[in-house]
Amino acid sequence: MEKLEKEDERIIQKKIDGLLSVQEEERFNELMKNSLQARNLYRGLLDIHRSLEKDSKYTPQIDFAHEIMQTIKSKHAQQSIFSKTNKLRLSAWLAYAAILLIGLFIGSLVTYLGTSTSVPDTNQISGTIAATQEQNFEYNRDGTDIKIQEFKTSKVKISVISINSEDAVQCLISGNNTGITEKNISLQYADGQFHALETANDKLQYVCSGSVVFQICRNIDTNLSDSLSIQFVKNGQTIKHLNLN
Amino acid sequence: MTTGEEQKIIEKIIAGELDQFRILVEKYQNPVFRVIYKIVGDYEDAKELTQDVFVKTFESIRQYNSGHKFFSWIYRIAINNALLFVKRKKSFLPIEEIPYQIAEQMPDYEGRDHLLAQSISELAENYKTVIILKYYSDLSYADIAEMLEIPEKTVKSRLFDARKILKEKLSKIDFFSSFQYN
Repeated sequence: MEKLEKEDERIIQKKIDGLLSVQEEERFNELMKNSLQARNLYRGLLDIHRSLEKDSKYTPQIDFAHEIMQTIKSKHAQQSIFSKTNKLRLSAWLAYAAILLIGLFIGSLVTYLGTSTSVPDTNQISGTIAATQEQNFEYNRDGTDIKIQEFKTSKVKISVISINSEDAVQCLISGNNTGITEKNISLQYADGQFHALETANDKLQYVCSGSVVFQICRNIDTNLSDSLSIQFVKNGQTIKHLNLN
Repeated sequence: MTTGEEQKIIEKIIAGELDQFRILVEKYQNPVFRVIYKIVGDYEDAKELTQDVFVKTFESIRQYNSGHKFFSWIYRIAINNALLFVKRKKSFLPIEEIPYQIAEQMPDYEGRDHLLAQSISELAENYKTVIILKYYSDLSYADIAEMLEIPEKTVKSRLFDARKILKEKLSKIDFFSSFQYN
């Protein structure tokens, strides 16, 4: 039996897809008329083609849109905003310098507003009305730096929290009956991400990455009867839990 | 949905409008699932992989090149993930186990169709990909060529060869199985 030419095989294949030109159609008809081998090849390929078309109809339909979106939203809230492609452009020492400046500025401002219309000389500021630096806290481990500095005047207490971390750090802040709400929290600086999550178990939740400085401002008269609890969580584990008075 | 409309949706997603991604999910979930299902051969595996593909697509949406069609991009992710999954998993189930598994999902599935599915799974990757994209994704030769970044002529050539291989495989199976009943 004469072997089919490659070009004739190609014409037979194109016939199945309905892609023949007028001349190719003529050649195909000739092959069907004169070549048993061509007819067998065409019949076999057509059988495969029809089987594949029939099989493609068997694939079950799905509707996963809701599940997919739930997964994406959950991941997005916790991970996608903490992309490790975010580079830390502000070095740690600049962030800490920002804390000091903010603390001094706030202390001075509160003292100024709380006492007289003129800015008092530093030497004239007494302990009870001056912005005094209270406790400090530092954490440096595994690529995460956390620093807390507190400033107190006669009227307010300000906790300035600086976080410098490539990985996401979750901050859970609870007032313990101090009446702390998101209005007490203000972002001072962010060269990274600072994102509020839904409150859970009466705790305010924020997720940070990169360089972030935020502060918690409490009114001394009403908000300091109980301590302020701040919990830092990274990769699902608590790395530090503080109670600030 | 036109390519331009799709591009606008992608821009909104990149800008942070998460819910816009749902539009793309609803449009492509079945075509993507079909392709993956055909490669991996298992409903639950295909379901999980489809979800993974969409999550990966979302996470890398900023890397999407608007010079290519979105479906080309997502199909490529789907196929790569499915083929990788198959390589890691054990080979196709023995024939005697398949009809029971398939019957749960497709009551009309016949034995020979299973043989066809098995034959497809045994094809070399380049042939398998073209067969699946042509028959299970309703893509044109031009679309497949764009997706695989090969000439259209090569797509046709691979498809023709793949059909021939399947024909020869099934001819042998039909030939031997005919002896069982004689």
